[in-house]
Amino acid sequence: MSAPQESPAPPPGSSSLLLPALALLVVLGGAAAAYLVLAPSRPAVPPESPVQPIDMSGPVVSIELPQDDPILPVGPGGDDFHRHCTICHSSRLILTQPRLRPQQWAAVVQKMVKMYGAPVKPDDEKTIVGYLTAVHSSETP
Amino acid sequence: MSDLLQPGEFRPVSRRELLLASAGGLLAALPGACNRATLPEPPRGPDAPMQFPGKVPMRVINSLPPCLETPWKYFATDLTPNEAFYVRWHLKNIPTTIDTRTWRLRLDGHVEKPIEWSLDELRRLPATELVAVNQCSGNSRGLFEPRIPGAQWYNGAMGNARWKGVRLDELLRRAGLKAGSVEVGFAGMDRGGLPSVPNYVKSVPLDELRKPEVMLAYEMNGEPLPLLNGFPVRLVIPGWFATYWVKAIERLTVFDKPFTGYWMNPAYRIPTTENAVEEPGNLCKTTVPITRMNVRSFFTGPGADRRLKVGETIDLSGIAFDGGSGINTVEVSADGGATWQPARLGDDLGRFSFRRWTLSLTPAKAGQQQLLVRATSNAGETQPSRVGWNRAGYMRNVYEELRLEVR
Repeated sequence: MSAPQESPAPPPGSSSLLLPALALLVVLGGAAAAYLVLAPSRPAVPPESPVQPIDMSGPVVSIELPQDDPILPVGPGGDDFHRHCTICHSSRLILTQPRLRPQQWAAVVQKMVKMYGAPVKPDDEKTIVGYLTAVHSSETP
Repeated sequence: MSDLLQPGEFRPVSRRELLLASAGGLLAALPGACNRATLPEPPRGPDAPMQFPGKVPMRVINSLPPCLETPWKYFATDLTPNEAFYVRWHLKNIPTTIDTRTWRLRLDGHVEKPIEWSLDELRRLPATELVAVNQCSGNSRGLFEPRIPGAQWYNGAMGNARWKGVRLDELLRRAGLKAGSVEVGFAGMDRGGLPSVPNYVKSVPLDELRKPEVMLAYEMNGEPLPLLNGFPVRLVIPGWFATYWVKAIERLTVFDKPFTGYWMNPAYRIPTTENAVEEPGNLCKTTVPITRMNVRSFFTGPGADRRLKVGETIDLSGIAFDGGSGINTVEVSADGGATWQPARLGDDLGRFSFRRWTLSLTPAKAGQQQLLVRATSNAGETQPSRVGWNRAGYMRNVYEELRLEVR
Protein backbone atom coordinates (compact mmCIF):
# COMPACT_ATOMS: atom_id res chain seq x y z
CA MET A 1 0.00 0.00 0.00
CA SER A 2 2.24 2.74 -1.17
CA ALA A 3 2.71 5.00 -4.14
CA PRO A 4 5.00 7.82 -5.05
CA GLN A 5 3.33 11.18 -4.84
CA GLU A 6 5.54 12.91 -7.31
CA SER A 7 6.96 11.57 -10.48
CA PRO A 8 9.67 10.76 -11.33
CA ALA A 9 10.13 8.99 -7.98
CA PRO A 10 10.69 5.32 -8.72
CA PRO A 11 8.00 2.84 -7.75
CA PRO A 12 8.49 1.00 -4.47
CA GLY A 13 10.07 -2.41 -4.66
CA SER A 14 11.80 -1.66 -7.95
CA SER A 15 15.06 -3.32 -8.79
CA SER A 16 18.46 -1.77 -8.29
CA LEU A 17 19.45 0.95 -10.68
CA LEU A 18 23.01 -0.22 -11.01
CA LEU A 19 24.02 -3.17 -13.13
CA PRO A 20 27.48 -4.15 -14.20
CA ALA A 21 28.24 -3.54 -17.85
CA LEU A 22 30.04 -6.18 -19.81
CA ALA A 23 33.23 -5.17 -21.48
CA LEU A 24 33.03 -4.81 -25.21
CA LEU A 25 35.57 -5.92 -27.72
CA VAL A 26 37.13 -3.89 -30.42
CA VAL A 27 38.02 -6.07 -33.34
CA LEU A 28 40.09 -5.83 -36.42
CA GLY A 29 38.62 -7.26 -39.59
CA GLY A 30 36.02 -9.40 -37.88
CA ALA A 31 32.74 -9.26 -36.11
CA ALA A 32 32.47 -9.24 -32.37
CA ALA A 33 29.47 -9.54 -30.13
CA ALA A 34 28.95 -6.57 -27.86
CA TYR A 35 26.33 -6.82 -25.17
CA LEU A 36 25.67 -3.65 -23.26
CA VAL A 37 23.62 -4.12 -20.12
CA LEU A 38 21.68 -1.04 -19.26
CA ALA A 39 20.57 0.57 -16.07
CA PRO A 40 16.77 0.34 -16.03
CA SER A 41 15.43 3.42 -17.75
CA ARG A 42 13.22 5.90 -15.95
CA PRO A 43 11.83 8.42 -18.41
CA ALA A 44 12.68 11.78 -16.89
CA VAL A 45 10.39 14.79 -16.63
CA PRO A 46 12.34 17.60 -18.23
CA PRO A 47 12.73 20.93 -16.46
CA GLU A 48 10.07 23.57 -17.18
CA SER A 49 10.01 24.73 -20.75
CA PRO A 50 7.35 26.66 -22.66
CA VAL A 51 4.32 24.92 -24.12
CA GLN A 52 4.35 24.94 -27.93
CA PRO A 53 1.05 26.60 -28.84
CA ILE A 54 -1.26 25.06 -31.44
CA ASP A 55 -3.34 27.27 -33.72
CA MET A 56 -6.94 26.11 -33.40
CA SER A 57 -8.42 29.17 -35.15
CA GLY A 58 -8.36 28.02 -38.77
CA PRO A 59 -10.36 25.31 -40.56
CA VAL A 60 -7.31 23.02 -40.62
CA VAL A 61 -5.86 21.96 -37.27
CA SER A 62 -2.45 20.35 -37.32
CA ILE A 63 0.44 19.26 -35.09
CA GLU A 64 3.84 17.79 -35.74
CA LEU A 65 4.99 14.99 -33.47
CA PRO A 66 8.60 15.06 -32.25
CA GLN A 67 10.94 12.36 -33.57
CA ASP A 68 12.39 9.76 -31.23
CA ASP A 69 15.34 7.85 -32.61
CA PRO A 70 15.78 4.26 -31.57
CA ILE A 71 17.87 4.23 -28.45
CA LEU A 72 18.71 0.59 -27.87
CA PRO A 73 22.23 -0.78 -27.88
CA VAL A 74 24.08 -2.55 -30.63
CA GLY A 75 23.99 -6.32 -30.26
CA PRO A 76 23.10 -9.58 -32.05
CA GLY A 77 19.47 -9.49 -33.04
CA GLY A 78 19.34 -5.72 -32.74
CA ASP A 79 18.78 -5.16 -36.43
CA ASP A 80 16.12 -7.90 -36.48
CA PHE A 81 14.45 -6.15 -33.58
CA HIS A 82 14.45 -2.79 -35.34
CA ARG A 83 13.28 -4.21 -38.67
CA HIS A 84 10.32 -6.06 -37.15
CA CYS A 85 9.44 -4.20 -33.99
CA THR A 86 9.51 -0.50 -34.80
CA ILE A 87 6.90 -0.81 -37.55
CA CYS A 88 4.16 -0.07 -35.02
CA HIS A 89 5.79 1.58 -32.00
CA SER A 90 8.96 3.26 -30.89
CA SER A 91 11.81 1.37 -29.26
CA ARG A 92 11.42 3.58 -26.20
CA LEU A 93 8.45 1.39 -25.26
CA ILE A 94 10.83 -1.51 -24.58
CA LEU A 95 13.00 0.43 -22.18
CA THR A 96 10.07 1.71 -20.14
CA GLN A 97 8.93 -1.88 -19.51
CA PRO A 98 9.98 -3.70 -16.37
CA ARG A 99 12.96 -6.01 -16.82
CA LEU A 100 10.97 -9.04 -17.97
CA ARG A 101 12.13 -12.64 -17.72
CA PRO A 102 13.01 -14.32 -21.04
CA GLN A 103 9.71 -16.26 -21.02
CA GLN A 104 7.83 -12.98 -20.54
CA TRP A 105 9.63 -11.34 -23.47
CA ALA A 106 8.77 -14.43 -25.54
CA ALA A 107 5.10 -14.03 -24.57
CA VAL A 108 5.18 -10.34 -25.54
CA VAL A 109 6.64 -11.14 -28.98
CA GLN A 110 4.10 -13.93 -29.47
CA LYS A 111 1.30 -11.49 -28.67
CA MET A 112 2.65 -9.05 -31.28
CA VAL A 113 2.56 -11.83 -33.89
CA LYS A 114 -0.76 -13.41 -32.90
CA MET A 115 -2.83 -10.32 -32.04
CA TYR A 116 -1.33 -7.59 -34.21
CA GLY A 117 0.14 -9.54 -37.15
CA ALA A 118 3.78 -8.61 -36.65
CA PRO A 119 5.63 -10.17 -39.61
CA VAL A 120 8.02 -12.28 -37.52
CA LYS A 121 9.00 -15.80 -38.61
CA PRO A 122 9.72 -18.36 -35.84
CA ASP A 123 13.52 -18.11 -36.31
CA ASP A 124 13.39 -14.33 -36.15
CA GLU A 125 11.23 -14.64 -33.04
CA LYS A 126 14.04 -16.45 -31.22
CA THR A 127 16.60 -13.88 -32.30
CA ILE A 128 14.42 -10.98 -31.23
CA VAL A 129 13.64 -12.53 -27.83
CA GLY A 130 17.37 -13.13 -27.40
CA TYR A 131 18.10 -9.48 -28.10
CA LEU A 132 15.38 -8.19 -25.77
CA THR A 133 16.61 -10.50 -23.03
CA ALA A 134 20.16 -9.23 -23.53
CA VAL A 135 19.23 -5.57 -23.31
CA HIS A 136 16.35 -5.49 -20.83
CA SER A 137 15.81 -8.56 -18.69
CA SER A 138 16.07 -9.46 -15.03
CA GLU A 139 17.92 -12.59 -16.08
CA THR A 140 21.11 -13.01 -18.08
CA PRO A 141 20.62 -14.59 -21.51
CA MET B 1 41.15 3.07 -24.63
CA SER B 2 39.00 6.08 -23.93
CA ASP B 3 36.13 4.59 -25.94
CA LEU B 4 35.76 1.54 -23.74
CA LEU B 5 32.73 1.92 -21.51
CA GLN B 6 33.02 2.00 -17.78
CA PRO B 7 30.80 -0.33 -15.72
CA GLY B 8 27.31 1.10 -15.34
CA GLU B 9 27.50 3.15 -18.53
CA PHE B 10 25.91 2.51 -21.84
CA ARG B 11 26.18 4.17 -25.16
CA PRO B 12 22.82 4.56 -26.88
CA VAL B 13 22.76 4.20 -30.65
CA SER B 14 20.54 5.64 -33.34
CA ARG B 15 18.94 3.94 -36.31
CA ARG B 16 21.74 4.91 -38.69
CA GLU B 17 24.36 3.30 -36.53
CA LEU B 18 22.34 0.12 -36.39
CA LEU B 19 21.96 0.01 -40.15
CA LEU B 20 25.69 0.51 -40.48
CA ALA B 21 26.22 -2.26 -37.96
CA SER B 22 24.04 -4.75 -39.79
CA ALA B 23 25.28 -3.83 -43.24
CA GLY B 24 28.95 -3.55 -42.55
CA GLY B 25 29.54 -5.53 -39.41
CA LEU B 26 29.87 -4.25 -35.92
CA LEU B 27 33.24 -2.72 -36.68
CA ALA B 28 31.59 0.13 -38.56
CA ALA B 29 29.39 1.08 -35.62
CA LEU B 30 32.03 1.18 -32.93
CA PRO B 31 33.15 4.63 -31.94
CA GLY B 32 36.48 5.72 -33.24
CA ALA B 33 36.76 2.62 -35.35
CA CYS B 34 36.04 4.30 -38.65
CA ASN B 35 35.50 7.55 -40.45
CA ARG B 36 33.75 9.95 -38.05
CA ALA B 37 31.80 11.47 -40.94
CA THR B 38 29.62 8.33 -41.12
CA LEU B 39 28.57 8.47 -37.48
CA PRO B 40 25.07 9.89 -37.01
CA GLU B 41 23.58 12.69 -34.94
CA PRO B 42 24.13 12.75 -31.17
CA PRO B 43 22.67 9.62 -29.62
CA ARG B 44 19.53 9.91 -27.49
CA GLY B 45 19.40 8.09 -24.19
CA PRO B 46 16.24 6.47 -22.84
CA ASP B 47 15.78 9.39 -20.45
CA ALA B 48 16.13 11.97 -23.22
CA PRO B 49 13.26 14.34 -22.54
CA MET B 50 10.63 14.88 -25.20
CA GLN B 51 8.03 17.59 -25.27
CA PHE B 52 4.89 17.31 -27.35
CA PRO B 53 2.98 20.14 -29.04
CA GLY B 54 0.48 21.82 -26.74
CA LYS B 55 1.86 19.97 -23.71
CA VAL B 56 4.08 20.76 -20.76
CA PRO B 57 7.04 18.41 -20.20
CA MET B 58 5.51 15.08 -19.20
CA ARG B 59 6.71 11.61 -18.34
CA VAL B 60 7.08 9.76 -21.67
CA ILE B 61 5.85 6.18 -21.32
CA ASN B 62 6.02 5.81 -25.10
CA SER B 63 6.84 8.29 -27.82
CA LEU B 64 5.11 6.57 -30.72
CA PRO B 65 2.24 6.31 -30.32
CA PRO B 66 2.35 9.02 -27.66
CA CYS B 67 1.67 7.94 -24.08
CA LEU B 68 2.40 10.82 -21.72
CA GLU B 69 1.83 10.95 -17.96
CA THR B 70 0.76 14.06 -16.01
CA PRO B 71 3.34 15.34 -13.48
CA TRP B 72 1.84 15.01 -9.99
CA LYS B 73 1.85 18.74 -9.17
CA TYR B 74 -0.97 19.36 -11.67
CA PHE B 75 -3.42 17.47 -9.44
CA ALA B 76 -3.27 20.32 -6.94
CA THR B 77 -6.02 22.09 -8.96
CA ASP B 78 -9.54 20.75 -9.31
CA LEU B 79 -9.39 20.83 -13.10
CA THR B 80 -6.35 19.33 -14.80
CA PRO B 81 -5.04 21.85 -17.36
CA ASN B 82 -5.32 20.73 -20.99
CA GLU B 83 -1.58 21.26 -21.49
CA ALA B 84 -0.84 18.79 -18.68
CA PHE B 85 -3.62 16.30 -19.37
CA TYR B 86 -2.30 12.81 -19.88
CA VAL B 87 -2.22 11.26 -23.37
CA ARG B 88 -2.68 7.65 -24.35
CA TRP B 89 -2.95 6.30 -27.88
CA HIS B 90 -2.77 2.62 -28.89
CA LEU B 91 -2.06 2.81 -32.61
CA LYS B 92 0.91 4.31 -34.40
CA ASN B 93 -0.87 6.52 -36.92
CA ILE B 94 -2.78 9.07 -34.87
CA PRO B 95 -4.55 11.94 -36.62
CA THR B 96 -2.21 14.93 -36.74
CA THR B 97 -4.12 17.00 -39.28
CA ILE B 98 -7.88 17.55 -39.36
CA ASP B 99 -9.63 19.61 -42.03
CA THR B 100 -12.84 20.64 -40.33
CA ARG B 101 -14.32 21.64 -43.68
CA THR B 102 -14.36 18.02 -44.84
CA TRP B 103 -14.44 16.03 -41.57
CA ARG B 104 -17.75 14.32 -40.87
CA LEU B 105 -19.05 12.16 -38.05
CA ARG B 106 -21.10 9.25 -39.39
CA LEU B 107 -23.82 7.38 -37.48
CA ASP B 108 -24.96 4.18 -39.17
CA GLY B 109 -25.72 0.51 -38.60
CA HIS B 110 -29.07 -0.69 -37.20
CA VAL B 111 -30.80 2.68 -37.74
CA GLU B 112 -33.67 3.99 -39.87
CA LYS B 113 -31.39 6.39 -41.68
CA PRO B 114 -27.60 6.94 -41.43
CA ILE B 115 -26.65 10.53 -40.63
CA GLU B 116 -23.51 12.61 -40.99
CA TRP B 117 -22.62 15.77 -39.11
CA SER B 118 -19.86 18.33 -39.51
CA LEU B 119 -18.16 19.72 -36.42
CA ASP B 120 -20.12 22.99 -36.82
CA GLU B 121 -23.38 21.07 -36.97
CA LEU B 122 -22.53 19.08 -33.82
CA ARG B 123 -21.68 22.32 -32.01
CA ARG B 124 -25.08 23.75 -32.92
CA LEU B 125 -27.02 20.84 -31.42
CA PRO B 126 -28.30 21.24 -27.82
CA ALA B 127 -25.19 21.11 -25.64
CA THR B 128 -24.48 19.55 -22.26
CA GLU B 129 -21.62 20.18 -19.88
CA LEU B 130 -20.22 18.50 -16.77
CA VAL B 131 -17.00 17.83 -14.87
CA ALA B 132 -15.73 14.26 -14.98
CA VAL B 133 -12.61 12.24 -14.23
CA ASN B 134 -10.95 10.41 -17.11
CA GLN B 135 -8.73 7.61 -15.78
CA CYS B 136 -6.81 5.04 -17.77
CA SER B 137 -7.76 1.42 -16.98
CA GLY B 138 -4.07 0.75 -16.38
CA ASN B 139 -3.38 3.83 -14.24
CA SER B 140 -0.85 2.81 -11.55
CA ARG B 141 0.17 -0.37 -13.44
CA GLY B 142 3.86 0.42 -12.85
CA LEU B 143 3.29 0.00 -9.10
CA PHE B 144 2.08 -3.62 -9.09
CA GLU B 145 4.29 -6.47 -7.88
CA PRO B 146 4.90 -8.76 -9.64
CA ARG B 147 5.38 -6.30 -12.48
CA ILE B 148 3.10 -6.44 -15.51
CA PRO B 149 4.08 -5.58 -19.11
CA GLY B 150 2.22 -2.66 -20.65
CA ALA B 151 2.19 1.10 -20.18
CA GLN B 152 4.16 1.63 -16.96
CA TRP B 153 2.14 4.46 -15.46
CA TYR B 154 2.59 5.67 -11.91
CA ASN B 155 -0.61 7.36 -10.61
CA GLY B 156 -0.75 10.15 -13.19
CA ALA B 157 -2.75 8.54 -16.03
CA MET B 158 -5.87 10.41 -15.04
CA GLY B 159 -7.31 13.92 -15.18
CA ASN B 160 -10.38 15.95 -14.28
CA ALA B 161 -11.94 18.29 -16.82
CA ARG B 162 -15.09 20.18 -17.67
CA TRP B 163 -16.42 18.49 -20.81
CA LYS B 164 -18.86 20.07 -23.24
CA GLY B 165 -20.60 18.33 -26.10
CA VAL B 166 -23.82 16.84 -27.39
CA ARG B 167 -25.63 14.13 -25.45
CA LEU B 168 -25.39 10.67 -27.07
CA ASP B 169 -29.11 10.28 -26.56
CA GLU B 170 -29.69 13.36 -28.71
CA LEU B 171 -27.69 11.86 -31.60
CA LEU B 172 -29.27 8.41 -31.36
CA ARG B 173 -32.77 9.87 -31.29
CA ARG B 174 -32.11 11.72 -34.54
CA ALA B 175 -30.95 8.57 -36.34
CA GLY B 176 -33.92 6.46 -35.21
CA LEU B 177 -32.78 3.16 -33.70
CA LYS B 178 -34.42 0.08 -35.15
CA ALA B 179 -35.94 -2.54 -32.85
CA GLY B 180 -33.35 -4.98 -31.55
CA SER B 181 -30.54 -2.43 -31.20
CA VAL B 182 -28.31 -3.29 -28.23
CA GLU B 183 -24.97 -1.45 -28.46
CA VAL B 184 -23.18 1.35 -30.27
CA GLY B 185 -19.62 0.98 -31.50
CA PHE B 186 -17.29 4.00 -31.48
CA ALA B 187 -14.50 3.94 -34.07
CA GLY B 188 -11.43 6.17 -33.86
CA MET B 189 -9.61 7.64 -36.85
CA ASP B 190 -6.26 6.27 -35.68
CA ARG B 191 -4.71 3.28 -37.47
CA GLY B 192 -2.04 0.74 -36.66
CA GLY B 193 1.32 0.45 -38.37
CA LEU B 194 0.12 -2.64 -40.28
CA PRO B 195 -3.26 -3.55 -41.83
CA SER B 196 -3.37 -6.52 -39.45
CA VAL B 197 -3.55 -4.28 -36.39
CA PRO B 198 -7.20 -4.09 -35.27
CA ASN B 199 -8.77 -0.63 -35.53
CA TYR B 200 -9.63 1.01 -32.23
CA VAL B 201 -13.34 0.34 -31.75
CA LYS B 202 -15.12 0.18 -28.37
CA SER B 203 -18.74 -0.79 -27.92
CA VAL B 204 -21.12 0.36 -25.16
CA PRO B 205 -24.61 -0.96 -24.27
CA LEU B 206 -27.51 1.35 -25.10
CA ASP B 207 -28.69 1.47 -21.47
CA GLU B 208 -25.49 3.27 -20.52
CA LEU B 209 -25.45 5.55 -23.58
CA ARG B 210 -28.94 6.88 -22.83
CA LYS B 211 -27.85 8.28 -19.45
CA PRO B 212 -27.78 12.10 -19.42
CA GLU B 213 -24.09 12.28 -18.53
CA VAL B 214 -22.86 10.48 -21.68
CA MET B 215 -21.84 12.83 -24.48
CA LEU B 216 -19.78 13.27 -27.60
CA ALA B 217 -17.48 16.04 -26.37
CA TYR B 218 -15.87 18.75 -28.50
CA GLU B 219 -14.61 20.93 -25.67
CA MET B 220 -12.39 20.32 -22.67
CA ASN B 221 -11.96 23.01 -19.98
CA GLY B 222 -13.48 25.63 -22.27
CA GLU B 223 -11.21 24.90 -25.26
CA PRO B 224 -11.53 22.64 -28.30
CA LEU B 225 -10.06 19.22 -27.53
CA PRO B 226 -6.31 19.16 -28.08
CA LEU B 227 -5.39 16.90 -31.04
CA LEU B 228 -3.48 14.70 -28.61
CA ASN B 229 -6.66 14.34 -26.50
CA GLY B 230 -9.02 13.49 -29.35
CA PHE B 231 -9.91 16.51 -31.53
CA PRO B 232 -12.47 16.92 -33.08
CA VAL B 233 -14.74 14.77 -30.86
CA ARG B 234 -14.39 12.01 -28.32
CA LEU B 235 -16.79 9.94 -26.24
CA VAL B 236 -17.16 11.08 -22.64
CA ILE B 237 -18.72 8.32 -20.51
CA PRO B 238 -18.41 9.59 -16.92
CA GLY B 239 -17.70 6.93 -14.32
CA TRP B 240 -16.33 4.44 -16.88
CA PHE B 241 -12.65 3.86 -17.52
CA ALA B 242 -10.99 5.84 -20.28
CA THR B 243 -10.63 2.89 -22.69
CA TYR B 244 -14.21 3.77 -23.72
CA TRP B 245 -13.55 7.48 -24.15
CA VAL B 246 -12.61 6.88 -27.78
CA LYS B 247 -10.69 9.79 -29.29
CA ALA B 248 -10.95 11.33 -32.77
CA ILE B 249 -14.18 9.45 -33.47
CA GLU B 250 -15.12 9.09 -37.13
CA ARG B 251 -18.04 6.72 -36.89
CA LEU B 252 -20.78 5.46 -34.57
CA THR B 253 -22.32 2.13 -35.57
CA VAL B 254 -25.47 0.79 -33.93
CA PHE B 255 -25.29 -2.99 -33.40
CA ASP B 256 -28.09 -5.52 -33.00
CA LYS B 257 -25.79 -7.91 -31.15
CA PRO B 258 -22.79 -7.46 -28.83
CA PHE B 259 -19.62 -6.37 -30.63
CA THR B 260 -16.60 -8.65 -30.17
CA GLY B 261 -13.72 -6.81 -31.83
CA TYR B 262 -10.17 -7.13 -30.44
CA TRP B 263 -10.34 -4.05 -28.18
CA MET B 264 -13.43 -5.56 -26.44
CA ASN B 265 -12.11 -9.14 -26.43
CA PRO B 266 -9.44 -10.21 -25.50
CA ALA B 267 -8.22 -6.70 -24.71
CA TYR B 268 -9.49 -4.70 -21.72
CA ARG B 269 -11.03 -7.52 -19.72
CA ILE B 270 -11.02 -8.13 -15.98
CA PRO B 271 -11.54 -11.28 -13.89
CA THR B 272 -15.07 -11.83 -12.63
CA THR B 273 -13.95 -11.56 -9.01
CA GLU B 274 -14.56 -9.02 -6.25
CA ASN B 275 -12.73 -5.81 -7.24
CA ALA B 276 -11.14 -7.68 -10.21
CA VAL B 277 -8.51 -9.31 -8.01
CA GLU B 278 -6.69 -12.56 -8.87
CA GLU B 279 -3.41 -14.27 -7.97
CA PRO B 280 -0.48 -14.62 -10.33
CA GLY B 281 -0.25 -18.31 -11.23
CA ASN B 282 -3.93 -18.88 -10.43
CA LEU B 283 -5.75 -16.71 -12.93
CA CYS B 284 -9.53 -16.52 -12.88
CA LYS B 285 -11.11 -18.62 -15.66
CA THR B 286 -13.76 -16.05 -16.61
CA THR B 287 -13.43 -12.42 -17.67
CA VAL B 288 -15.73 -9.55 -18.58
CA PRO B 289 -15.03 -6.17 -20.21
CA ILE B 290 -13.75 -3.55 -17.77
CA THR B 291 -16.39 -0.85 -17.27
CA ARG B 292 -16.94 1.37 -14.20
CA MET B 293 -14.17 2.85 -12.02
CA ASN B 294 -13.65 1.80 -8.40
CA VAL B 295 -13.21 4.33 -5.57
CA ARG B 296 -9.77 5.93 -5.13
CA SER B 297 -8.15 8.67 -3.07
CA PHE B 298 -4.74 10.36 -3.21
CA PHE B 299 -2.45 12.82 -1.43
CA THR B 300 -1.63 15.92 -3.44
CA GLY B 301 0.16 17.82 -0.68
CA PRO B 302 2.58 18.33 0.95
CA GLY B 303 5.31 16.88 -1.26
CA ALA B 304 7.10 13.82 0.07
CA ASP B 305 10.32 15.80 0.27
CA ARG B 306 8.95 18.26 2.85
CA ARG B 307 10.98 18.36 6.05
CA LEU B 308 8.79 18.91 9.10
CA LYS B 309 9.41 19.61 12.80
CA VAL B 310 7.75 17.92 15.77
CA GLY B 311 4.81 20.06 16.81
CA GLU B 312 4.52 21.69 13.36
CA THR B 313 1.05 21.44 11.80
CA ILE B 314 0.97 19.70 8.43
CA ASP B 315 -1.77 20.75 6.01
CA LEU B 316 -2.60 17.60 4.09
CA SER B 317 -4.60 17.77 0.89
CA GLY B 318 -5.71 15.40 -1.80
CA ILE B 319 -8.39 14.18 -4.14
CA ALA B 320 -10.90 11.35 -4.23
CA PHE B 321 -13.33 9.99 -6.82
CA ASP B 322 -15.37 6.92 -7.67
CA GLY B 323 -17.43 5.51 -10.54
CA GLY B 324 -20.22 8.07 -10.21
CA SER B 325 -21.99 7.87 -6.85
CA GLY B 326 -19.79 10.62 -5.40
CA ILE B 327 -17.55 10.73 -2.34
CA ASN B 328 -19.08 10.34 1.11
CA THR B 329 -16.00 10.43 3.35
CA VAL B 330 -12.22 10.64 3.16
CA GLU B 331 -10.15 9.54 6.17
CA VAL B 332 -6.46 9.66 7.03
CA SER B 333 -4.52 7.34 9.33
CA ALA B 334 -1.16 8.15 10.95
CA ASP B 335 -0.83 4.78 12.72
CA GLY B 336 -0.81 2.28 9.87
CA GLY B 337 -4.60 1.97 9.67
CA ALA B 338 -5.41 1.34 13.34
CA THR B 339 -7.31 4.61 13.70
CA TRP B 340 -8.69 7.08 11.14
CA GLN B 341 -9.54 10.78 11.18
CA PRO B 342 -12.14 12.23 8.82
CA ALA B 343 -10.90 14.84 6.35
CA ARG B 344 -12.82 17.93 5.32
CA LEU B 345 -14.31 17.64 1.83
CA GLY B 346 -13.94 20.54 -0.59
CA ASP B 347 -16.29 21.97 -3.22
CA ASP B 348 -18.58 19.44 -4.87
CA LEU B 349 -18.14 19.74 -8.66
CA GLY B 350 -20.47 16.81 -9.27
CA ARG B 351 -20.46 13.08 -8.65
CA PHE B 352 -18.12 12.33 -11.56
CA SER B 353 -15.46 14.88 -10.59
CA PHE B 354 -12.38 14.85 -8.35
CA ARG B 355 -13.44 15.79 -4.79
CA ARG B 356 -10.75 17.71 -2.97
CA TRP B 357 -10.10 16.96 0.72
CA THR B 358 -7.99 18.64 3.41
CA LEU B 359 -6.86 17.73 6.92
CA SER B 360 -4.40 19.29 9.35
CA LEU B 361 -2.29 17.03 11.53
CA THR B 362 0.36 17.75 14.15
CA PRO B 363 2.83 14.87 14.51
CA ALA B 364 3.71 14.36 18.16
CA LYS B 365 7.04 12.61 17.69
CA ALA B 366 10.01 12.66 15.34
CA GLY B 367 10.84 10.03 12.76
CA GLN B 368 9.31 8.87 9.52
CA GLN B 369 5.56 9.42 9.43
CA GLN B 370 3.57 7.02 7.30
CA LEU B 371 0.18 8.45 6.40
CA LEU B 372 -2.60 6.53 4.68
CA VAL B 373 -5.73 7.87 3.00
CA ARG B 374 -8.96 6.09 2.13
CA ALA B 375 -12.32 7.14 0.69
CA THR B 376 -15.83 5.75 0.98
CA SER B 377 -18.30 6.45 -1.80
CA ASN B 378 -21.94 7.40 -1.44
CA ALA B 379 -22.75 3.91 -2.74
CA GLY B 380 -20.87 2.49 0.26
CA GLU B 381 -17.82 1.31 -1.69
CA THR B 382 -14.55 1.27 0.28
CA GLN B 383 -10.93 0.82 -0.71
CA PRO B 384 -8.94 -2.31 0.13
CA SER B 385 -6.10 -2.06 2.65
CA ARG B 386 -4.02 -4.52 0.64
CA VAL B 387 -3.07 -4.43 -3.04
CA GLY B 388 -5.21 -6.52 -5.38
CA TRP B 389 -3.36 -7.78 -8.49
CA ASN B 390 -4.74 -8.87 -11.87
CA ARG B 391 -3.02 -10.08 -15.01
CA ALA B 392 -3.40 -6.85 -17.00
CA GLY B 393 -2.68 -4.38 -14.19
CA TYR B 394 -6.12 -2.72 -14.08
CA MET B 395 -8.21 -1.07 -11.36
CA ARG B 396 -5.56 -0.62 -8.69
CA ASN B 397 -7.21 1.17 -5.73
CA VAL B 398 -5.38 0.25 -2.52
CA TYR B 399 -4.94 2.94 0.20
CA GLU B 400 -2.38 5.48 -0.98
CA GLU B 401 0.50 6.38 1.27
CA LEU B 402 2.53 9.47 2.03
CA ARG B 403 5.81 9.30 3.93
CA LEU B 404 7.06 12.42 5.67
CA GLU B 405 10.24 13.09 7.67
CA VAL B 406 9.60 14.73 11.04
CA ARG B 407 12.54 16.01 13.07
